[in-house]
Amino acid sequence: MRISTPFALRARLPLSGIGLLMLAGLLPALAHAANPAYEAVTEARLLGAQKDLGWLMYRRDYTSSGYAPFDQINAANVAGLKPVFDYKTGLTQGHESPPVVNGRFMFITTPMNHLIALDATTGAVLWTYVHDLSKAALKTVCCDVVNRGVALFENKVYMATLDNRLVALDGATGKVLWNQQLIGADIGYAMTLAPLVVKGKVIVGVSGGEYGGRGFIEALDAGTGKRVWKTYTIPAPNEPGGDTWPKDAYKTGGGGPWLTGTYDAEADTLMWGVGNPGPWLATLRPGDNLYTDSVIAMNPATGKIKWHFQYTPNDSWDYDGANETVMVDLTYGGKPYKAVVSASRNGWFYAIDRTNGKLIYMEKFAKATSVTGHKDGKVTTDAALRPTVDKEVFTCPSFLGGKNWWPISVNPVTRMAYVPTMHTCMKIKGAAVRYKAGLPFLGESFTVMHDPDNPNWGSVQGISLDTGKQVWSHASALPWNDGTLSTGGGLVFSGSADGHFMAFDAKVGKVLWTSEELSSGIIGVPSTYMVDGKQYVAVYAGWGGASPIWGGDMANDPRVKGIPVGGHLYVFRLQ
Amino acid sequence: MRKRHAAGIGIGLALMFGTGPVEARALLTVCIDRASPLAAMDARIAQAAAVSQGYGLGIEYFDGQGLGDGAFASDSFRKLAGGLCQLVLGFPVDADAPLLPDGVEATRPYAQTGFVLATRKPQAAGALAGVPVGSTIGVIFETAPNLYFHDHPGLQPRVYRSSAAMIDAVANGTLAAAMVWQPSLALHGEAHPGLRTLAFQPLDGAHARWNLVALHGAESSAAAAVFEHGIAALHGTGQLAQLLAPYAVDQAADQAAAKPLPAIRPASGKAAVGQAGPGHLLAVAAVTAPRTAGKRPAIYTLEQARSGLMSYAMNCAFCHGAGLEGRTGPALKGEKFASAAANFLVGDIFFVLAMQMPAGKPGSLPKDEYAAVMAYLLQQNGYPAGKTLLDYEQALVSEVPLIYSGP
Repeated sequence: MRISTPFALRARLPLSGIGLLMLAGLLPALAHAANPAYEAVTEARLLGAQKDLGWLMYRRDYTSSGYAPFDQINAANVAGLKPVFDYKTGLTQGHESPPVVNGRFMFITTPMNHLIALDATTGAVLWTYVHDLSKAALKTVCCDVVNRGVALFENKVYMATLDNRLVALDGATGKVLWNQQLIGADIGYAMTLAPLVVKGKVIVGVSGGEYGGRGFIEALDAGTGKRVWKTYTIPAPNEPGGDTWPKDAYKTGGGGPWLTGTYDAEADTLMWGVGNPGPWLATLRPGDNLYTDSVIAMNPATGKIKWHFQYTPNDSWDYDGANETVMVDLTYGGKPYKAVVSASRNGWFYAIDRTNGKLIYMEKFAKATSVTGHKDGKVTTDAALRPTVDKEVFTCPSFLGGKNWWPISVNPVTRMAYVPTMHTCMKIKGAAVRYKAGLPFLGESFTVMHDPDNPNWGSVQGISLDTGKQVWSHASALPWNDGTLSTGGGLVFSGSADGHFMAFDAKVGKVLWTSEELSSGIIGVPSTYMVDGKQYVAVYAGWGGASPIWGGDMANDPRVKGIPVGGHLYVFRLQ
Repeated sequence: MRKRHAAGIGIGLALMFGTGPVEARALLTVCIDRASPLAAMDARIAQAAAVSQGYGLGIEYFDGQGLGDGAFASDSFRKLAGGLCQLVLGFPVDADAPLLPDGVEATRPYAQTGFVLATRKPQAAGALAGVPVGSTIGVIFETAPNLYFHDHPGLQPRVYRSSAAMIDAVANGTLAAAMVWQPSLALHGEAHPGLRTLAFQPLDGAHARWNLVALHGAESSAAAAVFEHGIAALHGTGQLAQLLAPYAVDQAADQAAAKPLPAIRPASGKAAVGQAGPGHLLAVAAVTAPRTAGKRPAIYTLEQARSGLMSYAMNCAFCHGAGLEGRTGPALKGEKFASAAANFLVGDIFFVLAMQMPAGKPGSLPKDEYAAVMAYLLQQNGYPAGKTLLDYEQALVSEVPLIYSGP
């Protein structure tokens, strides 16, 4: 029987002043009276988010860089990083959200859609919102009841919910301003992503690739919550790309655009990754199955698709293309490109020309056998490694991916991407499938296993943006399921599954600092911000997500099974 | 699509007498799925086979879930085979994957049917290879022929949810061709004689061919032998092929001619019922009107539920919560999980449980352990325990509604 190690048995981070912080939390009136002023997050601030002192959106800026220019904490002094405060959420599922910071206001979300505003320097609770999920059965949430954080605009904070609502709250007080339902709960969709605000619209995408949903991205008016446009990621038969599906199969075609996209302000283009096709078994849906496992570019005013690039055509391995879309300018083969890069589930690192959707390069960053490369810019797959109802195959990476949702970051100085990596393969075979609204729609059986050439489950890699090749790698016996944060201090921050938050030298990958053991494994996206001239780094511990549920041999590894659970935000700075 | 029936098997014993008074004759009893497109044909064949051996025939009609598109099965096969009749008709077995549930035996196939390519005009060349590149071909959602497009990339699939609409589309020229379950095509042709002009030819891809057999328990071996002798006799006179047309074809020809039937032949063991329907890799659970809870049948034993609790704790509790309240995965008890609106059947939930769980290693538990976990879920959702063991194969196709009722 799987029982997590009791929290009390783990080494706890010693913290001074915790009693005072708890007192502040217990006295909301007092805390409220002391609330700092809330500065509006204007469109200009969003466009300039890279240079803002806070952390205004999921990946800090519209390019999804995960990079902050702050250098107060740097390679020379990071060893002196100390905890300032922590905040325990009381929930035991996966904690994935980045702390989003505007001035002194820090916003974190928890599993089951709680939203908490804290003082970013003390951890004092400013307000709390607990979304009412009492009517939702959460039957169509595949990979833990997670949430990946908020979006900010003007005076509002936005959270997308597991029951497919977008909630807008007043940032200063937590008062709910509106609560808009996009689509019913429990019929195939859920939302776990951080929304993205572009030009007065809040843009979100749904999860649902495992339940026969038909994915869509929807833009709502940021002021009123009214729908502005809705773009399906699976075209109908009469739309462009509709002929890449058996007619009518699109209705259950999946393609959940379940992570946050990117906005190219110069080109006025929204880019968004699209998830796997449904059911998993590809022989049931001949064709490329656009726009599954693709990045699509859209006009943010209308949602109209401008171009696309497909990472995995006719996917039979659950290789979602939903992963990050990071804008970088790079030079490849002596030519400069305006690119968008992504470390795809299928184990390949892609650079795509973001002006036209053409492939610049693709390089393996994990063992990858299902996808073999490309021919004239179109991705190719190994027909022999496609499972059927009569054939089990062993292929790599596993459906959990060379990398799952954990976002990469980039550093414009080192010209590298920092990629959390999983080293797994899988046995996979077709199975019977039935479609019924509200139930899984897979049609494959599978087991996640070790990459036979790699004894470790995980690593963190530095990959050159100009070549797509590995520069450094930090091996991890346990899986590495945490996104990365890059800083102008020449550092990369990321957390391990055994509860250590770490700083790497961005150039060579040397570990420069390791936190004490935090209360749980780390899957929360780290962020950094400046308040009153001091730089802070913040991250959630709170093991969960897809790996412990779907991870097969990896999840059953006693070292993984023994990872304690429980959500806990930790904030560090130099003393 | 699937038809519903309240609970257990529809009643209505239709005794079909032979030429003499029934009490004077031995009786062969068969259960026939009324919802199967083969029902009428099977009744005629069973009647002829019984008469040829000097038996009378009793037919127990039951309302299985299979109609037209071929999803078949009853949630109480053993009730049928063990008590109400000796033989059960209407459960074709996959010729490519002959596996039968434990304790179920099958007669030698009396015919073969399967998926055919239906076209308006006879094809010159063989099946799919003869269809012009660029044509749109109809196919029923999630049936085996969906697999064939992979080898025919020039053909464009169009997915249908019902055979009737698809056959009509071929007839009116909307579709170049359709891959359809032959009995559905034949039944449709009887209702709409104009459709008899459609040409069809057998498909030869994987899981395209299905054998028609009579299923029975070990105690009905003698009845099975009578049936097989009767079929052999019908075959000998050429009557069998006539009775089968246009639903199926007599495949026994060469084999029977070469080898005479033994006097009493033990039923050949392991041919099998596909998990979800004839040729349905892949049955579609149709959306039907929400129903009320009604009376809750006792379809598992207390011992099973106790055993299921142990297995649940080991394999399920981490995601679904120690008390089924949900954690990283959904709750598996309560009004939100098993609501009337969700319209779940025991078979729907058990299919997911048996095929996709535990998520890290789907299908890895023994069958009786899956059944025990289902028993525990039933118990926790307010269903009473009884004397009947919940059986894996039965649970997969159980149409008992799953609606929470306390505690």
